[in-house]
Amino acid sequence: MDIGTGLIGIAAAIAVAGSAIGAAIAEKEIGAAAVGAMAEKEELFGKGLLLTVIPETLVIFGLVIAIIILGLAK
Amino acid sequence: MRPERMRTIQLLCKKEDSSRVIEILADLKAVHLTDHQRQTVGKAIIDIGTPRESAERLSSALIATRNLLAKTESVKGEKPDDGIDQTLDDRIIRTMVLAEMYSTHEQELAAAEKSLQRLDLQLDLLDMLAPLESPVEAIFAAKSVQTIVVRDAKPGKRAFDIKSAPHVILLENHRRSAAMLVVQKQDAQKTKDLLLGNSYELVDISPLRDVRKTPKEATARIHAERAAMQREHQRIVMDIANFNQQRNFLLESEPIFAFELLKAQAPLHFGATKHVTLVGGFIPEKRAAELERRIKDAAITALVETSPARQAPVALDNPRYTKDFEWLLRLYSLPRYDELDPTRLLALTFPVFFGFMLGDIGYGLCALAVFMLLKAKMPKTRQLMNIFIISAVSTIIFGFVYGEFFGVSSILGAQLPMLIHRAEVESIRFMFTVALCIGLFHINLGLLLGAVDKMKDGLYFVIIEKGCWLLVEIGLLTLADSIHLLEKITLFSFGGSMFNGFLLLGIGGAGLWHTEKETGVLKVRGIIEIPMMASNMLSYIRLVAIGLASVYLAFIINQQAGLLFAKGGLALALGVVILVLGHALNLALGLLGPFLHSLRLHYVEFFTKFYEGGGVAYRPFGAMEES
Repeated sequence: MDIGTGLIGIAAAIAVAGSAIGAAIAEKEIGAAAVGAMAEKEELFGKGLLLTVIPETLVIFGLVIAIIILGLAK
Repeated sequence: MRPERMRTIQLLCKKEDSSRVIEILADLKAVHLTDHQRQTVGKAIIDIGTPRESAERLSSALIATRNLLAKTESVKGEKPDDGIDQTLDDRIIRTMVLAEMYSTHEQELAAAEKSLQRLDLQLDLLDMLAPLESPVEAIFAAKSVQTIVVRDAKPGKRAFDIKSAPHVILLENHRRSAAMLVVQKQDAQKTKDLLLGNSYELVDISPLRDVRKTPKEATARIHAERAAMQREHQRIVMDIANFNQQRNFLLESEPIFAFELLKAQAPLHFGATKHVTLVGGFIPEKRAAELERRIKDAAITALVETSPARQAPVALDNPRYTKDFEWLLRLYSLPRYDELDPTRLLALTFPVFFGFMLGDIGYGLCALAVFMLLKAKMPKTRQLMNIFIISAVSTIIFGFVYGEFFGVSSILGAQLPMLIHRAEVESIRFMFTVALCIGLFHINLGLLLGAVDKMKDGLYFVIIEKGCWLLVEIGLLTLADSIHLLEKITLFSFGGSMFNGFLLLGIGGAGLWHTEKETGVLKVRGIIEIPMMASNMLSYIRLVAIGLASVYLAFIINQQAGLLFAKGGLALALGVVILVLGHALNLALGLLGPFLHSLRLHYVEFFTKFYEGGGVAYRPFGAMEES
C-alpha cells in the first residue's frame, strides 16, 4: 500500500469527520433550544425534533464525498 | 382513519332549568364545552353565567380535603370508601370540622415546641450559672446595676484578661466556664464594647428573667416542667396521627367534591341572560341523539341545534389492537380534526422497524419477559408497555429470519434457520438495498397520504406536487448512480447519467415552484427541501447500521466469554459475569436505540410528508381526568 492510498483514506475520513462535527455543533445548539422550548410548551416536541435533525443533510454530503474519494483509490 | 366525527351543538333553555341541564350533561359525559365569550347582540349583552351558590362551599371543602390528604400519612390498606353513606351537606360539614380541628392541633403543636425550646434554653443558661450560690432573681433585681455574663471558652491572646478585672465572679463548671461582672448601668455599654472588642462572647441571660431560687434549685424545677411539656407534645403528636384514620373518608370525598364543584361552576362556560341559558360545544355524532332524548325525557323545554363540525376537538378512534400506539402519536401532537390519523400505520410499521433493527430471538424473549413484568407492576404505563411487547414479538420473528440468539447462530450445536445472515460482509449490500427499499416505500406512503389529505385542494395541484417529489426522488437516485454511489451501497445500478439526474431534478423543482402556494421569495420553499429528501432517503440506512452494531457487540461479548470459558476455573466464573453483564448492557442499548430511531424515522421522515398536528384534545364535561 503506497502513501497515495493512505492519503486517500485520510481524505475520506476527514470528509466524514468534518461534516459530522459540523452537524454535531449545529444540532447541539438547536437541540438545547428545542428542549428549552419544550419545557415551556409540550406541543412543540414534534417541530423541535424536526428542526434538531435538519442538519443531518450535512453528514449525507460528507458521506457522499467520502465515497467518491474512496472511489479514486485504485 | 380519521378522528371521531363530531357535531357542534347549541342548547337554549330557561334559566330555572339550567341546573337540571347541567346534571344531564355531567351524567352524559359526552359534551365538550366551548367557553362562551361575552358578546353584545343589538342592545342585549349576553354575558357568562354565574356559578351556583354551592360553588364556594364546595371549593373550600375540596381545598380542605386536599390539604388534609397532603398533610396526613398514607395508611396501609386505605381505600376511598368510608363505609358510611352521607349527604353532600353532611360531608362538607364533616370535612370543614376536621380541617378546623387539625388546624387547632397544628397550632397547639407549634406552641408546645416553642415552650420546649424556651425551657431548653433556660436549662442551658442555668447550667452555665450553676456555681452561683445566690438566687437568680437577684441578678435582675437591682435597678442601678447590670449583670454581664461572658462565655470564657476560648483561651486566646487577649489584650485584657477578664480574670484580672475587679469584682469578677468566675463560674467554673466541670464542663464549661463563664465569668460574671456587675457594673453600673451607665458603664454597661462601654464594658460590653470592651469585652466584645477583646473577642469575648456575651451571653444573653434575659430568658432567665422569671426564674426563681438558686440555679441548682431552679434547674430541678425546670426539668420537671420540661418533662411535663414533653408529654404534652407527645400527646398532641399522637392526636395528629389519629387523623390518618380519617383518610378513607377524605379519599372518598375528594372526587365527590371535585365533581360537584365542576357542576356548580359549569355556568361559567355558558352564556346567560336574565331568563335564558345558552350552552355551546361539541358532541360526538353517535351521542347526539342520546342527548336530545334525555332532555326530552326530563321534560325540559329546550332548543337543541346540532350541525356537522368543521373544526372540532379530537377524540382518536382506533381499534383495540392499535389503540396503544396512540401514545406515540400523543408524544408528537394530536392530529387536527380534518387530518388523517396515522395511528394504524404507526402500529404496522413501528414494530417492523424495531424488529428489523434488533432482530434477535434471545433479546426478544428477554424484552418480552421484562415488559410483561413491568406492565403488571406499573399499570399506569400500560400503553407504552404494550407497544414494547408488540415490538418484542416482532424482534423474535426477525430473530428467526436472521438466525440470531444472543448473537450466536446456533444453539447447542443445532443450527438456527435463517434467511439472511446479516453479520456477513457479503450480506451488507443486500441489507442496504432492503433498507433503502423500505425507506422509499415509507416516504412514498407518506407522500400518498399527503396527496389523499390535500385532495380537497384540487386534483391537479395534488398530482403535480406529489408527482414532482417522485421525479425528485428518481433524479436523486440517478445522480447517486452517476457518481457510482449506488452500486457501492446497494446491489443494483441502472446506468444513470448526471445529465439525466439534473434534468429530473430540474423538472421536479420547476413543478414544485409552480404548485407552491406562497408568493415572492417563499416560492422556493419546496425546492430547498430537495436536499432534505436526499437526507430522508439515506436516513433509512440506520435500520441496518443500528442492527449491525448490536450484532457485533453481542459477537464480541460471546467471543470474550468463550475465551475465558476455555481457560476454566476462576476464569469460568468471570466469563459468566461478562456474558451476563455484557448481554444485559447490549439488551438495554438494543431496546433504547431501535425504539428511538424507529420513532425518529416516523416523526421526521414519514410525518413531514403529510402530517401537521396541533389538534385540541376532546375533554367531555363530566369526565374527571386522572391527574
